[in-house]
Amino acid sequence: MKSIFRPMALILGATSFISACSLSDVVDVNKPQVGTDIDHDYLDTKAGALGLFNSSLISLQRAVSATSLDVGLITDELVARPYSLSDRATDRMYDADTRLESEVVYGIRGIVSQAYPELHTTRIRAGYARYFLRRQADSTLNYAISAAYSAEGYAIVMLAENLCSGVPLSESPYGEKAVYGKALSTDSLLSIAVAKFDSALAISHDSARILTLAKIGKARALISLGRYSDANTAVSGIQPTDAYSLSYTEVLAPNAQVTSAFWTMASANAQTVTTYKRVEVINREGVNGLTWYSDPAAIDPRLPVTVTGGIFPAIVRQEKYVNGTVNFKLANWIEAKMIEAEHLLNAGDADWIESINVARRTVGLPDTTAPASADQQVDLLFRERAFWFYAQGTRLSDMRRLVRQYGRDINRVFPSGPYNRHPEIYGYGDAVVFVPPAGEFKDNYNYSGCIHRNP
Amino acid sequence: MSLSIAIGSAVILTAFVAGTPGRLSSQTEQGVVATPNASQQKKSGSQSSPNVTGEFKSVTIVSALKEIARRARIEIAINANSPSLQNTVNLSFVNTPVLEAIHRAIDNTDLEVRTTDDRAVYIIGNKSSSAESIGSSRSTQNVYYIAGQVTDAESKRGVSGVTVSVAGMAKSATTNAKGEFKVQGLPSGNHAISFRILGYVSANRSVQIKGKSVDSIHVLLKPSATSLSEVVTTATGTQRRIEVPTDIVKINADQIRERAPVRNIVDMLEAAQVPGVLVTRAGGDPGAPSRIRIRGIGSISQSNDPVMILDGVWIDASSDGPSRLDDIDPASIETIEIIRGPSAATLFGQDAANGVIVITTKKGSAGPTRWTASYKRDWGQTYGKQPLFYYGVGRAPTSTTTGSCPVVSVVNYLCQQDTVFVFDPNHQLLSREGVESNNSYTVQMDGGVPSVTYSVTLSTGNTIGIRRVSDVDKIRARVLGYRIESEFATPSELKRNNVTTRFTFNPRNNLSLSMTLNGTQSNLKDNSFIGDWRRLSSSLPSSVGGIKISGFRLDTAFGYLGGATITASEKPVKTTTGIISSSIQYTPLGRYVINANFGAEKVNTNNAEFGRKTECQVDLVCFDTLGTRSQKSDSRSVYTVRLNASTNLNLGPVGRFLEIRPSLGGDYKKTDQSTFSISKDKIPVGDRSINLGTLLFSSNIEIENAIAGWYLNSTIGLFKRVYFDVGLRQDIGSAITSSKNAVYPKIGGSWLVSDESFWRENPLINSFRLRSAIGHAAVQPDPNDIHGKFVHGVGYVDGKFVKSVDLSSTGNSRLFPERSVELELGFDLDMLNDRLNLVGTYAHKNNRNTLVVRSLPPSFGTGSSQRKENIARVRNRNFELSGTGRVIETNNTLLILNYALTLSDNMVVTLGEGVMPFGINESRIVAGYPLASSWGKAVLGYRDINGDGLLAQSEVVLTDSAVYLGWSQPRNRSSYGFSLTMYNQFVFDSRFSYQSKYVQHYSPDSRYGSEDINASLEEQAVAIIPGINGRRPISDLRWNTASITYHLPKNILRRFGGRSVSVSLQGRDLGLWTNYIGRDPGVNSTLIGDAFGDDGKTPPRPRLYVLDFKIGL
Repeated sequence: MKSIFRPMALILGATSFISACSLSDVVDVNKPQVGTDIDHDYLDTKAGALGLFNSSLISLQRAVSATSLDVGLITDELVARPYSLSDRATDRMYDADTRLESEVVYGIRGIVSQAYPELHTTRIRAGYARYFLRRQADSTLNYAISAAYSAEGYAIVMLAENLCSGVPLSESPYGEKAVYGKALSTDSLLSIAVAKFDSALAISHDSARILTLAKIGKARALISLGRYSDANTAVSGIQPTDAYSLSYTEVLAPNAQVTSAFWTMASANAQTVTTYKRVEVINREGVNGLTWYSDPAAIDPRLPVTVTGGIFPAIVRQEKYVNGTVNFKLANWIEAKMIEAEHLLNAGDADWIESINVARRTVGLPDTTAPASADQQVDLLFRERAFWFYAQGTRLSDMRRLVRQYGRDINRVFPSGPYNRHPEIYGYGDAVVFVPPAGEFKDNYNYSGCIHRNP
Repeated sequence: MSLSIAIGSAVILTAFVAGTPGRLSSQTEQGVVATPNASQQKKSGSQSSPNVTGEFKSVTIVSALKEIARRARIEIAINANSPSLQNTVNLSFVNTPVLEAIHRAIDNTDLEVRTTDDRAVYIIGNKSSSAESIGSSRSTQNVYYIAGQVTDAESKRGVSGVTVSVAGMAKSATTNAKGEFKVQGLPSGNHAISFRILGYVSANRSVQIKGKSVDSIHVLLKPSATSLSEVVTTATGTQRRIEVPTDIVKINADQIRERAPVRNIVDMLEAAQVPGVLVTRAGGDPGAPSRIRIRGIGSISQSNDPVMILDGVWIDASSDGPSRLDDIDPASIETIEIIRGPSAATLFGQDAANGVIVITTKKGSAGPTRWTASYKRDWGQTYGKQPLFYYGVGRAPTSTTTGSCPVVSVVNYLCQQDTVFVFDPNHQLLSREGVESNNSYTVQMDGGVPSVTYSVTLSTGNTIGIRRVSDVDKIRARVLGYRIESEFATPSELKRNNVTTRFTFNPRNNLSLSMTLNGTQSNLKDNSFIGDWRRLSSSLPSSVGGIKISGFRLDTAFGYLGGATITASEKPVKTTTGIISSSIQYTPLGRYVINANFGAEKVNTNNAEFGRKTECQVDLVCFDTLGTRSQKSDSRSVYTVRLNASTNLNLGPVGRFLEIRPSLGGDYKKTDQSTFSISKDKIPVGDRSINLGTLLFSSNIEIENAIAGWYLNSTIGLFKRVYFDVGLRQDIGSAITSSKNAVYPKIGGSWLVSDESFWRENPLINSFRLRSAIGHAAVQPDPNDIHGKFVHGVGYVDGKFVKSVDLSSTGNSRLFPERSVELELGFDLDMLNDRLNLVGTYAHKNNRNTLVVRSLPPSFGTGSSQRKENIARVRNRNFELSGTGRVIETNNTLLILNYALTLSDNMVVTLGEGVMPFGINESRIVAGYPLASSWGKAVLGYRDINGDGLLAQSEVVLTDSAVYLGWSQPRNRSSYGFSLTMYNQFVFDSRFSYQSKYVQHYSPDSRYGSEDINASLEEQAVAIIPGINGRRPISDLRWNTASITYHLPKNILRRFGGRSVSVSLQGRDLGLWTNYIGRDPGVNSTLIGDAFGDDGKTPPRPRLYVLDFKIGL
């Protein structure tokens, strides 16, 4: 039997030896794939992590600009106009169900196809950036980690503000299992966003602008949750000079994403067509819309416009964004004051009007007085917000809040009645929120649609 | 040198044997097997048992034995106290085997010979004592024996291991290495003796013993059709087929080459008609890629290509271009073994789930150099007519200018049709197909000495494809003053030079080294020079309006030469392939075998493409447009290291009870790929350089991937008729993290039922084996599938441009290799005195965790990207049956019939939770249906609602959604063949195949129904929904090959010292009968992946006639 045991012992010994060895070392290769793609080792460097961070900010820029245009179109801020006579001849029907006016005119540029995935891209990239920034164990990068949290928070806030209740947040953390998101209610999204901002604020760094970003973002989420006092607390300490801006440019750079929705709103191409504009400002759109201008001689400095004649009675072009180079204030002291005013108003504090006037003075506007009735006071507050944040993607949230938090009749807030382009045929629909695009239904097996489409 | 004689008692024996421990074997009872041990062989310089020559007169037996031992240089121990030892004998030996000599010396005595287990010592003992030692109840009165030799009827060499049994008695013996046997203890009388061994037709003899032993029986065994004793290659080395629980098909390359036109290995695989193996061609041009699928397709997103191994090393076998298999000269191949399915392929490592093709090159044998030279000349022409080409011409209502005016334009009032031109592409003037021709020369030499052998194969060939510049284009170009350059005279051409050498060194008896070098250099030309027929007709003056032209008339055509467009493109592909393979086999201590393979394959491919268009106006003023140019340089390397160690353990009487062959092995495979691509347009007129023009894109991608694994395997044999094969393998690859190490087990059993005691011998069934195996294998994902993809970007942040790192696609870190699990059940049956052989196999294969490319919802934030997930399950079921029957077998005639059947079933069992059916165009992946199935909207009906005699899209009613039309691969395949050999000189051979239940897309350029307003409504309906008509279930019967070969008789060959001379006339694709409306359903231009097929209007493989002349010296 010795003749059996000897070879068996040898084989078992060899097997044990091989098992003990790490085969991983044998198959490690230097170039899993090198070419136009980035070696994953680069991601785990300071430069790589900052590159990911930059990517998340660039994505946030695109998301904000797309949202601004789309929100402008669905609300009373902007109206779409046919680009040419031939477009007019084949004018298409306004989407009465979802109010996707932008879809009607711009097709692929609607929120369902650009802003929605871009908002998700922002938060996913921010998550990747945070992961690799943390791995560097470098405190000088804390500002970036904080900003990445805030970028993620803003993306979630904007999803909550503008889409129906029931938006999924799918996750694909680096090296971890992907999670197909389930529908989350608006309040759930906002609570998640608050947590993101809290995380941003918890990180120690000395950047006032990034601190402002987190504070305003948190307050914006809390306002939508109706937690006015908490929102006011969140913005405390913000100074008039504090601001976090997103910068856009028309200067071409290799592979750079230089075009934005702001360029679309005010592109040179559009403005050379003097008769018709892609988007215009319209007074009292759908009856309920605001009167954005009344007298060319008394134009609000917060929304400069030019008025020209044409086939329509008036063509009003917004001049807030005059070209693609835009310094977009995503978070600033003005917004803090508006939040403060809303808190005071809801708290019954008469000083709320002072918060409004302090802000107005910064642009040379005269002080205004508080109206007598509560409804009028709310109207004034939201009109101030509308002018301050014109075409900044907040109007839809404000209009929804007027219905949800202030009990306004939905048909007295949103454009309604005959549609401005073909009033004899079409009317405004009932939908007041965006819904996720078809791809979410098709490819996310955990998602079956909105929880509800109420404001 | 050692010479020992010990005489006396057991004490003497003990003293002697102490230095050579041994145990008395039972061979004495069952016959005698006695060979010198390894050390003696080495000393004698001989591989076989020593022989004795000499004459002994009046010497005692002891003296005779002593002299035999001295002369044969062996050791003989005598453990007997018999007076017979002092008997005097007269003996004469002439080169007589030592064992026979000993037997003769002790003949008619009470002595007998035995050996130690290691056959180191011949022991002479008393019969009574030996009988006692093994517990035999043999009567001392039965002292007779029968002896003789069993030899192969063809090679005349001795056959070892033959069971020689005596009917009605528990007497049997096994032949030794020289085929010798001896059955002792037989009484006088008639005895029926049977001789049985796997791989040979059993033989029976009647032997009469009349008071004297019989020692001159000579039996010839004929090889049988079944080769269960044949040696096949497995991952652990070579094994007898009986020990392998799966069906491994072994193809003898030279046999295939003799009966079928074979230019490459793919041709060989196709001609072999192996059940379960499907070969699909991309077209009839030389160098056209081909796709090999073994037992269906199981992977949705990964490769379904089988693994290719040449002389122990992996070679690249991807099918995304001219196949690398074409680079190997079929003349240099000895055998090709096809290992089907994971149950057999488990130990070959990851990616073996799709089967393994093991190629073994020719190995030289010792002796004077043997030369073989052959010359092949081929002629080929396509078969099947191309459909007519229709072209409606008319004018817009407000215009006098003629132009294209199909039915759809008439329906929409965009034009009024005047004329429909009907072109016949088969017409000699328009035909773009000519005669294919091939010349190839092969020279082979092999020889050497026992310690060094060599084999060298040199070949060169040039194939000119069937495509031609049409006569119309030639004439038109001449009229236009356009010179057709030489590159387009034969637009499709393949030149290939190949050299394969294999050297084998045997420096020691237990050490063998082998090295294979293969080099191929090929130049493929895939040019095109095409004029546009439409443009030819569009310039017709309006005066011909209303006249229909059927067919094509020269005077009509060349009356309108204006408005021509000529598109010329050149696509040269230069490939250089080198393969080096080294094998080492070392057998220390006699029973251990260590195999090692090292090797590499290197493939460099340069693809270039230059396109140019020439526009000619009606006034014959022509101008060249700016050209386009692209270039791709691809370099691939595959490195292999494979190690294996095994041993043989035998327990019980000479291993008859239990044999164990444990093996331990490991392998490492690394692939490097480097691809540089560049594309430019606006190449100035008259130039071709890649240095000019405008850069469209360039890229340089390098990819490395490595796989390593180790395995433990054991073959366990019981009673030489039941074998178990148990093994497991662990793998890891670059793409898979260490936490995903996977173990792939296998277990199988093989049972030779017909060797059981309960099996009664009968003439109907001679041998019957049952086998079963289950095993796991894998296909691993690509590295990028796991890690995701990031790219550099630039963005504007905080007022300045910054670099960004953008997530391009989300990887999936949870990916793991697809796992294939296959259960295989089968039988091997020899019937009717081994004249009929049947092999049947049922295979059930499940691809679990199949990788599916899944579109990500936008909430993943990666745009419209996709990623792979292990979510689907695909099932393949195959039943394979092959049969070979020797219908006529006489001295002068041998007729063999062959039959093979494959029934396939494939289904996507599930696509995973939430995964919607997906696919490209008509090829969709839908749960509950086969992979790569064909889908499309079906025409439910049509009605000419407005009564204008024309059908608009709205007047055709289609199904709301696409419906399943069929599978892209034939479900049923069968092949039939015969081979008739007469007078050992003439060989006739022919093969047919039948395929059914599959669909193939045919999309002609222009249909009658879409161009002619007078076409029937049915024709119009079909034309409106192109493809529907071409995608109905089809079947085809094909006359694959036929050959007639003449071998020069040996007596004539001897006159001039030749070894062989043969002339063969062979044909391929000689006939096709099908309901397919295209030309050849066996052509699928979509070979990348396994998408549903389209013949792409590609010319099919030509009908081929080959003259093959071969001479061997």
